[in-house]
Amino acid sequence: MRPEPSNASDGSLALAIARYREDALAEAYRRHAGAVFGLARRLLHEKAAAEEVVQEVFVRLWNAPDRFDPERGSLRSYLLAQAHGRAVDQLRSESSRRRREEREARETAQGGYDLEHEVADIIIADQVREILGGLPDTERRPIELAYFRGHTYREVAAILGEPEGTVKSRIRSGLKRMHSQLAVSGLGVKGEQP
Amino acid sequence: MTHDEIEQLLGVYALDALDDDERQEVDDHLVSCPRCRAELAAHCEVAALLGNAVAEAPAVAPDELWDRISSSLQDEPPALSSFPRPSSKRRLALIVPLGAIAVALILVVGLLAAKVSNLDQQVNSLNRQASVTSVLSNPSHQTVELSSATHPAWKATVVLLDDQGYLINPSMPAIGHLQTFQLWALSRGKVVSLGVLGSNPYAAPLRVEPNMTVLMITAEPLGGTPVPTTPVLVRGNLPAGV
Repeated sequence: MRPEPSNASDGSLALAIARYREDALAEAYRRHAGAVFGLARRLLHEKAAAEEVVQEVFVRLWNAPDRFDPERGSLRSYLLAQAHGRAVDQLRSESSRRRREEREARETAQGGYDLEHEVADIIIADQVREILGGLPDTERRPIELAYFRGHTYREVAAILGEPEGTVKSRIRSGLKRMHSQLAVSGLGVKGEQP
Repeated sequence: MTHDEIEQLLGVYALDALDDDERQEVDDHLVSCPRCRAELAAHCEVAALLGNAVAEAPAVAPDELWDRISSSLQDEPPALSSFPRPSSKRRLALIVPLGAIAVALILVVGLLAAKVSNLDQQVNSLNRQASVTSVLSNPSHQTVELSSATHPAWKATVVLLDDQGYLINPSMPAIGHLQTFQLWALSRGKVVSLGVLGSNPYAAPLRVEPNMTVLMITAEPLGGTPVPTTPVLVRGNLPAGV
């Protein structure tokens, strides 16, 4: 008897998807599409563009299920990483870049674009918010601008008026610091960073 | 870039905040540096938690989106896959009767069946040749040269039209009869299989995806492997934005 997708682990769900079980893909969608949509919408601000990312991510999971390796993390993490990459690609396409610049100029003009509180409007899980908020500002801000705004590190350097080398090493040290904090708080990262 | 310079970029890489040219250099380095791969994996864990933390907000994907996804699922799978998967949704239902007919034919006229199979291969090969020609005659096709740093005679060319491509002009070392060539791509720091090519990879079809930056061929045990187990024979960089 075929196992019900609703009870399946991520790994068996991916295997069932690989065997062309559309009900397994539907279950993965039921579990994770809201999260994928939430992240894409946060980055792209537009519902239609976010939907496009969700569609791409799930169609890709269907076409290339072996890209997801359960050993390397959860299905949700994989789908979110895919969605982030796709959303950032879209942001950097010419037309989106123009729209984003217009939006940011508008926000600045309205006094709403405040680097100090870059993510104040983002609803994020309390623990992660706490750990992110616990970073020195010099590390937190470049991480937020890169991840939540989709800027390249060179753009981040220009925005913050810092040298590019400083920005990349602060992003790296900030992520390392977060990793050890997250490991301590038991939030699903694997032990110490090498 | 030196190892230390690459190391400095790993955090930025995990946040998708690298420019394409630098990403490619990091990708190249990752193939041969387990230390950087391990550090990147840790950064990616943090990035995933950032994404997940945002996603914890009660976001609901629109209802009608699933219907759109479901109706857009391809009936045909990618041209080559290392994954053991039936070749298509629709064909699944036909496998049994066709299989039964084939077995009967082989039993009754084995020789004829062998000839049919041989003809099939020839037709298949002609079809592939026609596909290669059609890609080459399209002015917007791109070519990727795969070469070896140590053996100048080893090379191959990939012709690409959008995400579809074919391997042509392979000049590869001889491999044992229990080995097969296998094609790999580097995608966001991970080596993924693009398929098992057999011992004569001429006109093997392939499909690339936007995040893939490097193509590589190795010789692997017959049937292929999930990850490369032998040194890369030839490699080449995919053009940005394929």
